Amino acid sequence: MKWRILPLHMEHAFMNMAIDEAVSEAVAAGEQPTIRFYRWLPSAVSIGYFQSMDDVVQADKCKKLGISIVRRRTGGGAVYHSHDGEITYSVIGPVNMFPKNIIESYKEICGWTIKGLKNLGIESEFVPINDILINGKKISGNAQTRRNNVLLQHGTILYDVDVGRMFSVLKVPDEKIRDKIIKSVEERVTRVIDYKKVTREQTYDALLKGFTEGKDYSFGELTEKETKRAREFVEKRYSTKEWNFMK
Amino acid sequence: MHSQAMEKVSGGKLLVVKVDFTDKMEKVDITGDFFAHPEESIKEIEKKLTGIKLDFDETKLIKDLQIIIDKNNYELIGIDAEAIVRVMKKAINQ
Repeated sequence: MKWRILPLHMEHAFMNMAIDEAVSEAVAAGEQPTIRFYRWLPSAVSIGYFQSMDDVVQADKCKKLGISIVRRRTGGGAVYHSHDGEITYSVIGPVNMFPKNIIESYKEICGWTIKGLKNLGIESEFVPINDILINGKKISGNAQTRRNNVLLQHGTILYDVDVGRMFSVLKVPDEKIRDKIIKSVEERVTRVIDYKKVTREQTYDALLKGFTEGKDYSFGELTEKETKRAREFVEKRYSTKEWNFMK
Repeated sequence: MHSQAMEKVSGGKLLVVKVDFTDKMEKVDITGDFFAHPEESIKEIEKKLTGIKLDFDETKLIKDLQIIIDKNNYELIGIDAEAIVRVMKKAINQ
């Protein structure tokens, strides 16, 4: 099946999540599987579907710093999406294009990020459930949902994130790090620039190559219908308090 | 009474169970950074736990949840029925 690639673009947090849903809806209706790359304007925090916003995000601090907050349709943890320091991807396709086993499907899609990093000369590995690590430190977190026979997986690749700021807007419970034998949460993550002095553009090019290698694909853009639906999803879901503070 | 407990499930994810209870569970809210497919499965599990008496049989409850999970082909990743019941119990006893 031929993939549609939506090249690196920048959107507000609400719109980024809404585009994923609009494309998922289109794929469910028989449209092309899609890989999109995007950034966040402004920086944002996204939380997992099952998380409590109040438990994991310092919402007041985010507001003060001009950082958007949004709940994802996917599970997983809270993520700080730096406007400058991160590249995010979404892979959206019919479930039958991927392994039925969820961990195996994470492994397959994360393999494309791993290939991308390898193109930069950086060796990384997939560590179940949903992380990509370099020397034990997380460089990429990933989350997946399957609805209406469509698989959506999105994930982040940390390029040059201000790790101090990242954790200043997240509440990280001690419980979560207790078993990791690491003194500080800041020591658990790493970035592309810690390993290679490359630009964000070079990082994107390497990832694009990693994601498209061996695939039949063409570059495209959102259809008018997808754009319209995405705006509707922003209005009725992702911008609302009911959704974002659901738990 | 309102209470909550959390646990980083061994080899899994963070699970937080928030409960409102009298002599039975009035409200159960399961949160955390785990995954569940479909996502609605957690609502079904919360529904099953709501209304049960506080002196529930842990083993039987785990079994009951597992039946719901298996029957509906739910996939919980990073948590399981046992962890949900264990953390809920911890919340009640706090």
